[in-house]
Amino acid sequence: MDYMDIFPAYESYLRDESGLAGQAEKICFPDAPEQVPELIRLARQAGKQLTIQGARTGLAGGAVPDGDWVLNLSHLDHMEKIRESRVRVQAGVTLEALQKAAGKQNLRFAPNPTEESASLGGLFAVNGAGPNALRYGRTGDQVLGLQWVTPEGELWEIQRGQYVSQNGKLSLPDGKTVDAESGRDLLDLLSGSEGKLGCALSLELKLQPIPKEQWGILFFFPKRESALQFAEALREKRKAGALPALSAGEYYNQRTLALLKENNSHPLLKAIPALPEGAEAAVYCELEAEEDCEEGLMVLLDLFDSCGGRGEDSWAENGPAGVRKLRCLRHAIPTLLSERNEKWEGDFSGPQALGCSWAENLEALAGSISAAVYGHILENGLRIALLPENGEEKGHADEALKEIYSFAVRNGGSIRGEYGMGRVKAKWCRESL
Amino acid sequence: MKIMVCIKQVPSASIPMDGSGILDRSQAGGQLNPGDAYALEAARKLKSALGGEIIALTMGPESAEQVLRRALSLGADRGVLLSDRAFAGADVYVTAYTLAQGIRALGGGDLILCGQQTTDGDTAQVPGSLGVQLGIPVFGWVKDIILTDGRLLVRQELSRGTQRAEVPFPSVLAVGEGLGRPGIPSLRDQLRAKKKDIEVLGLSDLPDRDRKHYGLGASPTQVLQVTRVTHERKQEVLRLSPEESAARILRAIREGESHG
Repeated sequence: MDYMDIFPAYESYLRDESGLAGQAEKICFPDAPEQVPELIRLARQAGKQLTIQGARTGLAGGAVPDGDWVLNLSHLDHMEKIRESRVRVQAGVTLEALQKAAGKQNLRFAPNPTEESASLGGLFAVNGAGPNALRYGRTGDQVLGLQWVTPEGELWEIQRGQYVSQNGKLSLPDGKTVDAESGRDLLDLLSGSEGKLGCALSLELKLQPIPKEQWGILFFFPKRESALQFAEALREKRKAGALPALSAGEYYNQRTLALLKENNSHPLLKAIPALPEGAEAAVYCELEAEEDCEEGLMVLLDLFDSCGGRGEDSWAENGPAGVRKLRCLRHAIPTLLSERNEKWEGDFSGPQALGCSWAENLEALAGSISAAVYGHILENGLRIALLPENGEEKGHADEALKEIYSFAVRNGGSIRGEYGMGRVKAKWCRESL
Repeated sequence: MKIMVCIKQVPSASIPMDGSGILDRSQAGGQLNPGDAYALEAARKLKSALGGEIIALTMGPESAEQVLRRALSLGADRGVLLSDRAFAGADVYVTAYTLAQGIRALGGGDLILCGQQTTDGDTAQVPGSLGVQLGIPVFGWVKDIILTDGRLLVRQELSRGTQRAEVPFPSVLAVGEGLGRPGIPSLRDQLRAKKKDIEVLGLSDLPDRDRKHYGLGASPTQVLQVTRVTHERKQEVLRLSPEESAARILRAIREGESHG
């Protein structure tokens, strides 16, 4: 196993779904985990920087090489048998393959990043999450064990609970010690490290039974204020334990709904009827339970009515196929934005203290530039995409996005969002902090 | 206008057949046959233009109630389940016969709407057979329904082109996907549908109560084997000069003409 010239056969590996294009000299596709430490050592000996790739589905450009060599783990795609709701998968196994195998046993991997062709190694690298992180956490939370390779090419076998920080110190498998907040598990330190601390070669994952009842409901509101009032009320109910079945809460502003409307014939939206006229914003909720969800549904309906929702302006689906249909809308948004090739997208953890008004802040910070604001409203994991209409607006877009990132950070938010840091955010990171 | 919509619960995933060539439906959850959602959408539009009532009708076990509730949430006023042990194992012909008996028991309809075909049997024969059993005209592969001056016109997508026809009442219409995407029910409609009563008709409720006319025993056809038909396409990349390319294309066209 050795590195090969990236040109001409592997040129496409210079890009990922972020739309960025990088540079590299060589690439290698190990097909067994035990080959990887040696491949890393080879790169180190040659003095080469190494970019680790999975399925290259990331939107932050984390898999785009910045010169030297590439280590692509997509051929590490073996999955062991599922036993007692656990499974060990190699890093290149896709979420889709995992869900298919788990589904045969009425199980699922709970985190649901909308891009199912993502690899589990990649998801761990960015600690990926989906709309239901609200209830089930992120990828790292479902990892019970890990085979990890360090940047030095050292192989670590780690089980959850085996390396936990005590008195601010965390002992590593190689005997070294690092500073870490007490009680922190090494697995949680490694998840989301985006290649800086090494990469996962295989992961032992926790699976959960598929809930008997699943509902997806999209509520359309005539006014943005009503949608945000509804979202705020959801937060309160959830905090008070009144909506235990709630597993996701997503917000779509008017420009996001317009984007979906404009692309109604897109293949991803082929099962979706025309969106209702006159909606200024929408909130999408999912409920999951082992028994009937009726109580939660009634709570939602009452809130919808009291927040100015119009009687029939909602779409409700139950069962896995129905919920999948409504999730298509959410999945379509980043895809449609990516196809527009716009480069002014912000992905961050918004300031919690601002509550749902963070969505209003985002639109206000965009100024006169039209902006799609969407995402996890109940955790302030919103995203923004500036969609300038003309040259003048394009000229202001950089400044506006910089101000948005600065505002988020100044108010206690974080520049690190759902898709990781990657390369896309490097510029905003430098300029905003 | 009394509109009857014949719907079916189909498996939501791939399932095996048992030894008698019958799908083992216990192996997967059920869902409304996707084609029937178009029929329900057409019924909803017709009702909103002409007024009247929509009755969704299905044949199946108790679990088929699920698709009737779906139909109720999508605008049906009543849901009727034809369910009796005597109906089990029916082929296309006997299914249509049983549905026709159900429609007669409900006093008939002005329009009988069906999805063109189901995703499990995939025969597309029930609508035609239903029309024959009821003795009324059948319009298949309907891709558009037009109401004009009190007349009902349909456009049908047929193998040799599109046909426009005027529909007398009563008739059977089998609708395809061209009729527009089916709507998604509101939460309020879903919750209302959960609370509505489903009417159940058994053998004793039908005009023909002879058990020998129903189910597997009465079915003249039987599935012996199902095979996957694959069409192989050969793709060849040729690097030729413009002259060679033109000659090759001309030859292919001539060969095509001589074969066809």
